[in-house]
Amino acid sequence: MRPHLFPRWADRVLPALAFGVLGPATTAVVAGFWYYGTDKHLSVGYQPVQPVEYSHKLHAGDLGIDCRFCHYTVEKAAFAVVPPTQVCMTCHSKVKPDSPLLAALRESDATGRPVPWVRVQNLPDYAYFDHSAHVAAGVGCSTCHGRVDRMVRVTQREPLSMGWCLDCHRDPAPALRKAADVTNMDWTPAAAPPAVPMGAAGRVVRPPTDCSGCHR
Amino acid sequence: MSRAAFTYGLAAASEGRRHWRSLEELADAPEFRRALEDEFPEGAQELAGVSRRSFLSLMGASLGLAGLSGCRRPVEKILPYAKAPEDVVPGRPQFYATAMALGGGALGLVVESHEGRPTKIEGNALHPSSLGGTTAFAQAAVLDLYDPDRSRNPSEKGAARTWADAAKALVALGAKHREAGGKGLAVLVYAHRSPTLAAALADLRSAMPSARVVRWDPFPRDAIREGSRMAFGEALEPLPDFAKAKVIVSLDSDFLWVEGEPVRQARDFASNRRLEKASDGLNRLYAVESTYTITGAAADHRLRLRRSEIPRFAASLARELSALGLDLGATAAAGSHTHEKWARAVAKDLLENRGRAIVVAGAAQPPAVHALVAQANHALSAPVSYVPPFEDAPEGPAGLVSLAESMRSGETTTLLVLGTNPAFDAPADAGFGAAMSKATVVHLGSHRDETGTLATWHLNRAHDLESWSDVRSLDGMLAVVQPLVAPLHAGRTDAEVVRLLLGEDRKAHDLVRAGPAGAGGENAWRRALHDGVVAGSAFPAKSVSPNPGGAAEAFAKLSGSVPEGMEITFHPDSHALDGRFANNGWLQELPDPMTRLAWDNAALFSPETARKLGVSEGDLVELAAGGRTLTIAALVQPGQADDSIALAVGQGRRAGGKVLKGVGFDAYRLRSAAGAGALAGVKVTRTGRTHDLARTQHHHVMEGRGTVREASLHEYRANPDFAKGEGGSHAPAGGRKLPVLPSMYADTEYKGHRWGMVIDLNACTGCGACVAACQSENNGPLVGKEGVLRSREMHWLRIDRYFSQTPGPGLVHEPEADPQVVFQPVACQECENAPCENVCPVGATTHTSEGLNDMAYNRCVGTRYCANNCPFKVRRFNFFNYQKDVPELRKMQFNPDVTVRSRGVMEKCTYCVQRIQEAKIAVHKDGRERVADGAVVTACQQSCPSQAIRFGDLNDPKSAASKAAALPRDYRMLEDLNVRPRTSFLARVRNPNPDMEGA
Repeated sequence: MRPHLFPRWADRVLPALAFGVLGPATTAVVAGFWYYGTDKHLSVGYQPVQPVEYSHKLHAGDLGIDCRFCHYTVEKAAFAVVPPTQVCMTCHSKVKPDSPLLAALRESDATGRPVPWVRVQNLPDYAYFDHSAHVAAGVGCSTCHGRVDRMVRVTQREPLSMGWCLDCHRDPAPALRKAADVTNMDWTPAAAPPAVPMGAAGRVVRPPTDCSGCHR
Repeated sequence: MSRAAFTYGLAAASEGRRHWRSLEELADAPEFRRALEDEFPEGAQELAGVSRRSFLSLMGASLGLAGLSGCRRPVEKILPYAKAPEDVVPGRPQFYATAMALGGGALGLVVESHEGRPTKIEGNALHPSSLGGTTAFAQAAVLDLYDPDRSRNPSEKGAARTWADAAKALVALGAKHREAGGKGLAVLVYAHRSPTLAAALADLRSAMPSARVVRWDPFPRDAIREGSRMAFGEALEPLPDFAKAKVIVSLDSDFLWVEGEPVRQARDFASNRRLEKASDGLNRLYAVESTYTITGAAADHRLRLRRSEIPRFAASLARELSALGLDLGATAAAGSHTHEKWARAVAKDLLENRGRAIVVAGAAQPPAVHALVAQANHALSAPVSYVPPFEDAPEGPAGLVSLAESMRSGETTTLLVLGTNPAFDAPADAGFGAAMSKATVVHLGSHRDETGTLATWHLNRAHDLESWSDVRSLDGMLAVVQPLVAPLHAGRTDAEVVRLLLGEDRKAHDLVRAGPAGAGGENAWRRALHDGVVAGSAFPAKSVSPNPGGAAEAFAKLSGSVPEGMEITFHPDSHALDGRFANNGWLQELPDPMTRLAWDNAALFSPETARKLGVSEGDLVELAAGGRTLTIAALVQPGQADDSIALAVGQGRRAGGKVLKGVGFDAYRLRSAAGAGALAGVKVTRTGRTHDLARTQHHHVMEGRGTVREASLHEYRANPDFAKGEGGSHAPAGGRKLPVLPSMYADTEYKGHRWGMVIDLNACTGCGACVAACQSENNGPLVGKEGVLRSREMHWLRIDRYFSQTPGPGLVHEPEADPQVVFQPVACQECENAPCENVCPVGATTHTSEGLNDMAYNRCVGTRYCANNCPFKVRRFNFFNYQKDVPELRKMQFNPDVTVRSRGVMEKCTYCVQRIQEAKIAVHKDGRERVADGAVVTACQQSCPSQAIRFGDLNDPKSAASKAAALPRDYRMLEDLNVRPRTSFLARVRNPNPDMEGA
């Protein structure tokens, strides 16, 4: 048995590997995931194909239908529902009743089975978001959902990450509007928002920053 | 390391029983094992043909690759309605009033429904039997609705059939018997209180006069009605009004838990224990019983007697009352009584409080005792009213014995069994199961249980939450049973099936509408559906006059000799009741209030009797009586009467679901018709084998610190602040007052809401409704018997039961044989200086600006340091993914407002933060700042029958919680640790009779 198993130059291999290859590689991978693995990069721009090619640009933009006509629970409940088929059929039983684009809709109306919309703005199940509280406070639709009235196919514009939510929760004043402006897509924040954030319902808005505000 | 160490409960604890962890036990053992291995690769047993090294490399590779799939965004669908129902706003629950039959009466309920799925049961504040409270059984009933083991279709001799087939068969059977005037047809129905069903059965009887209708309840109230017949000449139901009572004597009556209408009774009883004003007095309860019940635990004086000796004590009490001048119409013969000293003191107390004193007796006592009690109450002008029974017909074992005989003889050729399980709970000497093979049996039941498997036809019954029906409470108040959802498995109700026998295929809704609930017209019907009660429908109270010969007759009946020797008494099980809830996991895991036993039943022995027989805890003993034997585990229970063995019936079931398989021991095997209450001549033999009993009482021991504080009324009056300051366990009169302790952290000023909770130990009966309610509201998981054996039960709220002995003059109790009991519900104390918050390495548990200790499940990595640091041991850890294999059907019960936790996550009571947030959002939408007092009601608070829990804003001096916290009895646990809990307790105050020193 030789006294040394490895030649002397082997002394420099491990540190060279560690500091020269593994270290930078691991750092690069971690940094990569850290930066690109966030909601900002993964979720923004998500634009799935829907079973019915519904164009918000046509309905909300050109035709001027208010958000609340279809998403009618947004002021009452936590969910702003995707409208049931019968809401679409209030018009489409008469308007373009034979259009091939609306075949899935008519099938839903006939069979009673729902149209399987693909969810675009999605929060994890452990995050409980309440639309009605935000609308009552004066947060407008376009603040979080972007210019929906310009979307032919719904796209997620904001990351909807916890950090993004907290940024506003910690400083809500710039995002708050008067009640009449909540569904106004053209609204822009005031140049100098008020010091004390006043909500649309007439009370000072103090959004929760405690965990249980959203996590139950 | 042997394999046995990692079998995680697959190996039977004993007796070849298998225990399980998830509701849907994967039926095949190899699949179960494989699932286990996926969970814990490092502990896996070797797969056949795969070496350890290649297995690990496979697992490692798949684990490494598994992470990448997380980058792909999960596609989630939104499925709106096609035609939305009116009034349904997704995300906002709806509430419907309904009712369920409970014991001798009914319980009005309000059920929360999310998008058409009932998820949570509450009490109906407008219903006199509920007043907002519920029992643990009512809370757990919602889980039974989604039980995957429920029958989904009718079956004929095991072969699946449709309801069309079943209806045809029923109509044919009915027509066949109608020709014979009903000869050969018998109907066995549970002791129902439904006018709709009664009308259907009455129509059956008039169309088929020779048909028999037999009522059956394993715990019938026949003796009570017979007793009033003896005393007053007619069968009546007594309605004690405990709210008006200052002195109550209970003879074997567990009225706080199961006798009569326990929710209402607990509320009324607790109303005289509040000690809210300095001038408030306390009622006094004397309990005479053979086994320790929660009524006995609430008692100020308790006498342990074998059940068969209680009638003699009743005679003794009556004799003492007569001796003190009360005219009962007759007296007991000399020498037929027992415990005179005790009886004398009780009699004196009763007479001193004439007009505000009540005696109650349990349904297991013979009619003579009830007659005496009725006479005594009348003579004492007790606040008891009498109403006619729903149906003056016997409900006891004699009916089943005769039915079985008539089936054997061929007299009964067709038997319709409605909502009861006689093959399991019939008297052991009736031979009912065997007799069933002689007749055509049609069984309407929720599960293919013991009766369903033996029956010719098994029809799936609709659950109460999916049925139209009606039910009268004990006082006659009518409530409509309104379905929350269309029958999940197309089940039908009792009345519909009886109508099918008559050849009518009618819907239950129409039947109920045509009954008394709909008799007042459309508006009255809608009002009844909305309120949950039909106004003015209670039976009018009857005035009574004592029967001249009644007392003499009663005394004569009580003067017989009492059998000596070992005796068995039968009681409803706290998990299964009479057996119907055996497949309900929540109830199985809810520890029995007195024994803290889960997933089992046992034979209860007193310490003295156990010593005499050489029996210790966990020993499997063979009980032999009347030619029948039962092998059952023994449990030594302080407070149990000597030479008396208490057996809970309802466990040890053989069929009807996966949850109940192998759980407990079937005590019905010993219960004969004559010995339904108490069985004499019992021989006990040790088998030498043992059985693991899963009890929660040895866990979470408080190690002698002053967690529960109690005093006698006398001590309280002398020093109202006795509970405050540092107290050792049961420290008397005022411990050292603590100085304001310094803290490392700056004090937070809570300017908004300051949530707090006060639990009144005087009102808490230990029934466990709060625990069941919390589990229902917060999606609490089940861990199974193995989990409970390892102290891993996941109840956010637990009830600690302490045996105690009050020292000092006035009361001497043998600590082991005759202890007192106090219950303490303990949940997260939401400490202001929470020791758990500081030690979380990832900040998963933080403090809110309103004082709640939050738990963010998604942030938790499972170090369990917080649970380690919690001095109250209220944090529960998900050691496994208990909710992983939950079937789709059961998922419908989950509360969508609360996260369903996976493995590796800590959880604990949150003061129902989902309800707090809901209330705050509602208020903010209106433009207001503060939530009104009473707008937020935690699940535990809401369900408590005696309203022992008060929750609210401590910053609001007018809130109920603030007022309670300001009472002198108020104290916090472990104050010397300076954790500053937000939950405080009102110390227990007992009201011993000063004349009973040494009794």
